Amino acid sequence: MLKRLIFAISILVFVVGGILSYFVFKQTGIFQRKSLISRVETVSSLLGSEDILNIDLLKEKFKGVVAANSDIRFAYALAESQEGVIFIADSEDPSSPDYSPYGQVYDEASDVLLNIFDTKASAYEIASDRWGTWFSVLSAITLDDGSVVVVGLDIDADSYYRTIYVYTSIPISITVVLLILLISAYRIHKKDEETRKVKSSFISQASHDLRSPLSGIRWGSETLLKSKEVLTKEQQDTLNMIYVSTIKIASILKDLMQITVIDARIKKDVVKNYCDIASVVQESVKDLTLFSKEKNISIDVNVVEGSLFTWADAQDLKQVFSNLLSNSIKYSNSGTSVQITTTTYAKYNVVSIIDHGIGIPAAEVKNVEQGFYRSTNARKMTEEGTGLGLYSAKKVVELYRGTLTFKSEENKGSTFIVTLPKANAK
Amino acid sequence: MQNKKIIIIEDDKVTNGFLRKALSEFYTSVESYYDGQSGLDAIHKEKPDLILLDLMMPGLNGFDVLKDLKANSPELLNHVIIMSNSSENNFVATALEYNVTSFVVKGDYDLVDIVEIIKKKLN
Repeated sequence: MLKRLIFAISILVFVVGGILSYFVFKQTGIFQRKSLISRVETVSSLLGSEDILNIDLLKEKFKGVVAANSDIRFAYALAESQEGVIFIADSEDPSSPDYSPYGQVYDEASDVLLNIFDTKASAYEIASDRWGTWFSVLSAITLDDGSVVVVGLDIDADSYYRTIYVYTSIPISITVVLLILLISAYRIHKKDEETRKVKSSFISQASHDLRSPLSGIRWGSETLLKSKEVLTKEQQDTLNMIYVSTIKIASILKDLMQITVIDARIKKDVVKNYCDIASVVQESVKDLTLFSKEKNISIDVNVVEGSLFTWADAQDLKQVFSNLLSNSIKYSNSGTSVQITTTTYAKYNVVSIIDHGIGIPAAEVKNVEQGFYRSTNARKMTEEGTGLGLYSAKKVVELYRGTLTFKSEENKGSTFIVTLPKANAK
Repeated sequence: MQNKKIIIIEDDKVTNGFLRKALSEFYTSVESYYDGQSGLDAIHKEKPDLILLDLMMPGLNGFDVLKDLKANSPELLNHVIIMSNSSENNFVATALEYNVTSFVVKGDYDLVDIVEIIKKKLN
């Protein structure tokens, strides 16, 4: 699921990033052209016939334009004559090798430039001449006598392209960074999944391999215990201890294998049936009645059957409630009660189990939630238990998109709350 | 002592030995095999009343034995009790697809309980 989501987001980032980069590429060019044309038009609008005729003044003005605009390399005015296009003035000092005196023929004039003398419309071009490759913006001034002068501003073509590339590189970089982050997230997720698989398969294999020799010890001590007549009382007691310990290990291995199965199931689709939560709760209560009587603990059941439904496997839910209920009974003091109550809300069904037992010390709550941990007070009360009950119950509830939370206070008791999505009537 | 033929196919010698010893008290013929191939040969030859079959074995494993039985002697599948220590759902589901009698997780039972299961099956 996460894998697909990351893939879909990556495609989206790639496409949006691509479109955005193209847009920025185009718009930066358009913006630069518009801005330069408006600058050349501003310059030409400030020049009248008398300015054009006063070449020294014109030159000073062009020098001023170049000095004030660091990106502009040349400012100049051109006119048409019988020899062709000629310079009227430029922004260069006469000592500069790039200086073009009045009347110097500009025989590299492009069609775009020549056209302006007829159309009088501002234009731009990227062209090469003896001074280099330029991005030029050109604007026409019509003098009082009707003749046309073209004012031009040149910026280095490399600088023009550089600006476009710099701006375009921003969305491209963001896209690339996002894609790298997504790929990293995918790799971390994959690694986590692999680690989980290795862990699961190791526990599963180890549990399986340990079970065979364990059966041997269990069955061996069982067989010997049957031949009571040849054993002394002390030998029988020792054998009995071996037998009981073996059964305990077998039970731990069974829990371990169950956890790996639950962990593996998280990734897969689970079978979901229309399931009556209340009747599952009742069954769990029934199974634990004997145990609660032995411990002199009453179970107060406040459940309305036939009113709470969810999509789940009834056996799985029974395992959850039996687990929670038996824990509550196990860790309650004689003479107290355990309440089990069901409530239904608009979208959720809630089952709460309240006991007045030893509780979980606040500092140990996190450890208990993570599994393979039994609180210190629980260990003092009984040696039995693997510390997996609550963990596996939580995992199973989460399989069905539910939640399992608990509140606990040491020596006061615990409240376990299972929330499961409500299924509409069949 | 009942006159029944039982074949045990189990690679773990200790487990196999305990099962044979326990069952020999009640049945006339209990034979042990430690790999799938020799067990399968014995099944075809002896046509036993009951087959105790482990799943995870080197070489021909329990599933291979079941596959062969399904192809060559499907009537014997009903005589098989799977005895495995792998209780994963997919293992159990795959094994039960062959219509075997039952699936017993050895490590969860006392020997006496397993003998009871077998007695019930053979009666």
